[in-house]
Amino acid sequence: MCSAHVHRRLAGAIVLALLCAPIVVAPARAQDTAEYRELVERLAERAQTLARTESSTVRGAERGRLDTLTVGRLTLLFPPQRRALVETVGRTAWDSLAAAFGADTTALQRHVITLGGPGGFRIPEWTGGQATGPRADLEFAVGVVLGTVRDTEARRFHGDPWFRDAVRVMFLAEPRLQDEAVYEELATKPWRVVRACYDGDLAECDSALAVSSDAATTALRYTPEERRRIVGREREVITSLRSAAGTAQCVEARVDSACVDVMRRFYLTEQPLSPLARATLMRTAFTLGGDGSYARLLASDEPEFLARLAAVAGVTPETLLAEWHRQILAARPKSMMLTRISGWIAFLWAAAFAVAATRSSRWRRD
Amino acid sequence: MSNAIETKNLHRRMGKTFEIRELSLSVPTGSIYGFLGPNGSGKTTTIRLMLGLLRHTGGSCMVLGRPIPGDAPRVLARTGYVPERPHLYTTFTIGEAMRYHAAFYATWDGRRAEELARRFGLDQTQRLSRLSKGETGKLMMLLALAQSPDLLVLDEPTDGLDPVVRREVLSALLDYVSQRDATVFISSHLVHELERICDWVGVMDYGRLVAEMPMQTFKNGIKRLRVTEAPSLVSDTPFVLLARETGDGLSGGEVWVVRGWQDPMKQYFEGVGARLREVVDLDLEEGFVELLRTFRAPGA
Amino acid sequence: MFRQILYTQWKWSGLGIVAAALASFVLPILTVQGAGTSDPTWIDARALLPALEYWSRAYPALALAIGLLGGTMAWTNDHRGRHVYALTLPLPRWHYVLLRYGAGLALLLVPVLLLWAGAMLAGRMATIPPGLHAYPHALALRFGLAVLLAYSIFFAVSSGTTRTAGYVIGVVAGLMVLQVLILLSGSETRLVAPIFDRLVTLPGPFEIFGGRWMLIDV
Repeated sequence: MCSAHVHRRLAGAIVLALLCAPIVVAPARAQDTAEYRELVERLAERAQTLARTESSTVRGAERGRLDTLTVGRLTLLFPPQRRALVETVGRTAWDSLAAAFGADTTALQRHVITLGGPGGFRIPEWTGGQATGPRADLEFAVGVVLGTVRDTEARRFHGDPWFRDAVRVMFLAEPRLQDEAVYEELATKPWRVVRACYDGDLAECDSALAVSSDAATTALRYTPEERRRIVGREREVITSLRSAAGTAQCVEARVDSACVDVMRRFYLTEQPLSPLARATLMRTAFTLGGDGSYARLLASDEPEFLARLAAVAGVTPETLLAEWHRQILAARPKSMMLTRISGWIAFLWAAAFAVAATRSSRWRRD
Repeated sequence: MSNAIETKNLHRRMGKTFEIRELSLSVPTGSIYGFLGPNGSGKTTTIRLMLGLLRHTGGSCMVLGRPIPGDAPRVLARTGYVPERPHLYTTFTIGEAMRYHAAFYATWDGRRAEELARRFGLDQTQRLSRLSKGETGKLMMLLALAQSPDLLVLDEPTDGLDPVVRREVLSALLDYVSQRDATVFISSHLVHELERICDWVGVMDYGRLVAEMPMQTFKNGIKRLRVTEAPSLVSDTPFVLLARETGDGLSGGEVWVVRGWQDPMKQYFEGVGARLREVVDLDLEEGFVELLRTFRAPGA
Repeated sequence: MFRQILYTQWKWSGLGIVAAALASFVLPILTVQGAGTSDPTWIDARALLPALEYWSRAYPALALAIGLLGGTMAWTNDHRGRHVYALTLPLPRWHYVLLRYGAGLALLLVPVLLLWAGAMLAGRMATIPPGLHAYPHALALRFGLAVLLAYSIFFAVSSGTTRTAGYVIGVVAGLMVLQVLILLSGSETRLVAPIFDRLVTLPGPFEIFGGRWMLIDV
């Protein structure tokens, strides 16, 4: 009887552990995702460095040991035994690029990326001390390819921070997740300009999406009360830099000019909306503009981001913003709401386990 | 006469070394059937098979005219069971145990239950975990009797109880049986106790039924005979010769243990040239021991 | 019959149920403790959401704990008596099992209802920034289903025989041992991860425990 009790408790403990796993897996995965992003960015930088310093002789010698695969504007070099994986990487990466930049990707620069082999990105890669499996290998390699392409393309918008930063985040997540994240921004950021955009004021969306490298200009996008709150939030940091006077004038005396001055001097230039919001607007423009959108964007010299994107999309700026707004609002996350199918599945599993209890050999008489 | 319990070639293996096999017993309706056997002989296992707690792997079992385990719920509704070890929820009070039990039996007699509680001196607010062995035994008998069952199956109900409590419990049982035409199947290794109340007896050993007969036949039928000048080979005896041993040095001759003895059978010895010196009555316990001894003897 | 079984269940697990009920009522209120600021004109939703997310893991964990409590306590006293009493009662065995199941479920309704009440109260107490919404009903429904599922699983495991428990342990241990052997052999085949994925995504049984358990969300 004792051992039966112990066995039962052990079985219950194991089932408990299985059930608890989803609770810990998601944070662990989230953590993995954040670290993974950082690692991909570092590795993409390294890839660029390697590409620039590699000598043609060395390149030729190494290619002799490596197979080559060309997909669109990508040339992938890899050890022959990795062919199957790299074919999938090439297809997946190219599909993402085509989806982001349009089917006509002649506007993209050519890239030569070495996956595996001497001097190339190692597959499998150790990430944070844990071995990866085939799926993680694929995700990692695709991330390396997209990161390399992304950084190169971002540099082409060297003098234009709006597009540069938007391109840099284009592949952070799949489009649906990007839209959800932007929805969350629109829904939760407290700034008046963002709230107005969320509520449908497209002129405020224009203002919220605009980026200025001038800190004072950016500061003026906020209301006086918001400026006071932003400075108040950063007060400790500013005070440690011996600028307490200006801060006190802004926060206590409520002198708005002092707030603008502090924000300008200390670069408190948080943009109302993040680069991800810009990336989604750019994606909307490409979708509306169809083939050749990216090439037209590169060729355009229109200084205003919205006018430039509207021209690429072939619509008016108001239409572009309206379409973007509609798309983001439609991407509201499911949040706490239980889908009908999810509820029924849970109920049916519960019923199945209840029936299983009656069928235990102890409780079955047949 | 119909049988309240009837098994035919019942079979069940328990572990690697023990099995119930070829068990065919019949408990006449309205009888008090004593089920005897040493410890480990399979009495409790047989009872569990009869009540459907265990599934038999061969043979058949009918209780109150219904097959077991197929119709077990209906059978159990008419059966009062007192197991060998207490099976009640120790977190209950006596009152709670009575109410819980009553909920499952349509034939529950609340008045009888209260009366028995008073008779047994049970405090209904007392928690089961604090009851003495005797009080627990009384409570289990109370629950079984208050169900107003047609069949009572009692597995060593007085085991470990002091004589006073044993008498109270058996007295209540007999009172019930006298009021209703209930059948009682009572297992025990306390032979003297069964001798007083049972009218049928079955003897079990090593998973097999050794003997089954009316109690009177059992008590009267087993004798120890002192015989001299008996031939080495005997056959066609009118009685069942259970054992034949050399006597002790003082009395000489042989000691025969026989079953089914009757007085006129003395003539048999004259016929074979032997002399019957003495016929000794055995009490139930001695008869039980002799029966088991012969059953266990090699070649038996 | 059901009333008596419900009474026994209450007797055995009442204290645990009361504790679970209190925890269920208090949890939603705790999760919004940062949202009742004195300055309702300035609520930073982006500060509130991470705080809510911090507490969000507590809901499925609590549901699991309540299910475990209910599922194992339903059988504790029967286990002690080796089920002899239950097996000798005059009703079909499956009927008895379902009565026990139903009684446990009825008791577990208490913490679920109290969570619902706590969530509604917390939703009213909190100052919710524009753009966010309170979901007390959805939270309570999901919590109720998670409790139901956890209870059913632990009830089924507890009702089984030692042999069943042995099979469960054997299968789980066998998979883990096999996975270790595969890894040691140098292969990259994953055995446990795909099975785990199947269990935690639709139509697996544990999908209900995942997702966003946020009382206040976008």
